Amino acid sequence: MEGVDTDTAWPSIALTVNGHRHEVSVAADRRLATLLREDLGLTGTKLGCEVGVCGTCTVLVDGLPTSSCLTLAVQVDGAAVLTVEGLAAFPELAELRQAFVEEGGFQCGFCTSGQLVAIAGLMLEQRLSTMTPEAVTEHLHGNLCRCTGYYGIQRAIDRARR
Amino acid sequence: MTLLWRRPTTIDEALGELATDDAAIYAGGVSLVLLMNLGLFEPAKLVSLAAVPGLAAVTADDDAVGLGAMCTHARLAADPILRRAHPAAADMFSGIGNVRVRSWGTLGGNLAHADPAQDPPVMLAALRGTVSIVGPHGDRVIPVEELAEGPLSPALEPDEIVTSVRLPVAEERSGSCYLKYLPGTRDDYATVSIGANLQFDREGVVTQARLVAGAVGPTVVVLGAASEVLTGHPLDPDVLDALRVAVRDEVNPSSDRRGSADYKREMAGIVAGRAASASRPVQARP
Repeated sequence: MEGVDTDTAWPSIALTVNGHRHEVSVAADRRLATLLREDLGLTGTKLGCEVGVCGTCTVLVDGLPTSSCLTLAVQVDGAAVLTVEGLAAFPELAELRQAFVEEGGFQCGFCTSGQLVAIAGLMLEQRLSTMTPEAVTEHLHGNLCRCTGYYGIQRAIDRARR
Repeated sequence: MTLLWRRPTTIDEALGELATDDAAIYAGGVSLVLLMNLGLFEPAKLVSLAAVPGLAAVTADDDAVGLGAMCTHARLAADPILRRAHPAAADMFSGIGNVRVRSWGTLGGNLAHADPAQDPPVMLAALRGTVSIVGPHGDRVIPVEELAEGPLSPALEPDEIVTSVRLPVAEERSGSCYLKYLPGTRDDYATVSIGANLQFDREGVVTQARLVAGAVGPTVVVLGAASEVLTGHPLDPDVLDALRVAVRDEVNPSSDRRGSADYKREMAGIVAGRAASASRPVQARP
C-alpha cells in the first residue's frame, strides 16, 4: 500500500466472534480480552486477575478454553471466538443458563461469564454428560468464584449434566 | 513504540526475524503475555512460530519419542504415543496449571521460560530428555536440565529456537512418576515437585535411579547424591529414610508463601520418597 509503512503498521487480522466476521487492524500487543471489550463492545468477558489464574476472561477459541487476558488478538487471526454473549445462539445451552438462575449459580456475578463459557465448551463438544464428576471439577478448577458460591455452581452443572 | 508482529513460515525465516530488533519468540503466549501484563517484559518484535511447519509433531523411533516444541500441553497429555511410552510424562502434562494454560502453553515455550517451578523440566529431566536447538551458528542438543541457567534465564542465544525434546524409550522393569506437593490450590505452583525414573531388577532392587526436584532452587535440581542412595537397594523404609535425608541436603529452596526453606527441604525428602515408591512398575513389586 502506497504511503503506508508496512513494517510498523498495525497487523490486519480477520476473526469470527460469535458468528460475526470482523476484519480489524490491531496493535500487536492488544490482548484478545481488550479487543473484545473495548473494540467490539462485548463486555460480558471480564478481566479479573490478568495473569491467567481466575478464569473470568474465559472464551473459546476454535473450541479451546482460553484466557483472553493472556492471548494476543493477532494470535487468533483466522480463528472463531465464542464469548458469553454468543451462548444464546445455542438452544442446547438454554438449560444451563436457566439452571444457573434457579440454582443460584452466582452471587456477585463477576465470574459467571467465565464459568458459563467453560462449561459451555464441554457441552458443545458433548463431553459434559460423559465425563466423571471429578473430571468436570478438574476442568473447572481454574474458574474461581471469590464469593465462594461453588455449591450453587455445582448444582447448576449437575442439572445441566442430566 | 509499535510492537512488531511476525509470522514466518519457515525456520530460516524465523531465525532471520530473530536476528534483528530485540525480537522474542512467541509460542503459545501464556507466559510471555503474562510477563507483558506485569510490565516485566517489553519486546520490540514478536516472532510467532505458529505457522512454521513441523514443530508440533510427536514422533517415535526405536530409541526415543520426539515431542515438537510447539505441541501444547493439552495435546501432549492426550497423545497416544507419549502415553504409551511415558505415561508419567503424559500425566504430568495433564496436570499443568489449568485447562486454559494447557490449551495454549507449549512445551518449547515452557522450557525456554526457564521457570524452576514449572512441571515439564522436572519430569523430562528425570526421563533423561534432551532438547534440540537450532540457531544461525548451527544446531545443538543439550540435556533438559541444562536449558535453564537461573530463574527465567534460559541457556539460549536470543536467535536460537528450541525445536523438540527427545525422550529415550523406557528401560525394561523401569517406572516413572511425577509428584507435586500442592498445599494451596490445585493450579498453584508446587511447594516442591519430584520427577522420578527408577529401574529395578527382578528382586525389586533399584539398579538405576534418577530423581529431579522442582521449585527448590534457581533451576531444577538433579538429585545425584540422593539417586545414588537408592541404587543397589530395595525401596525399604531404611532406604527411603536415607533418601529423605539426602534430598534434604541436596536442594536449595528459598522461603516464600508456599513454605519456609526448612519446610520445603523437609517436604522435598518426603515427596521424593513417595515419588520413588510410586515409580515401582507392577512387575517389580514384591
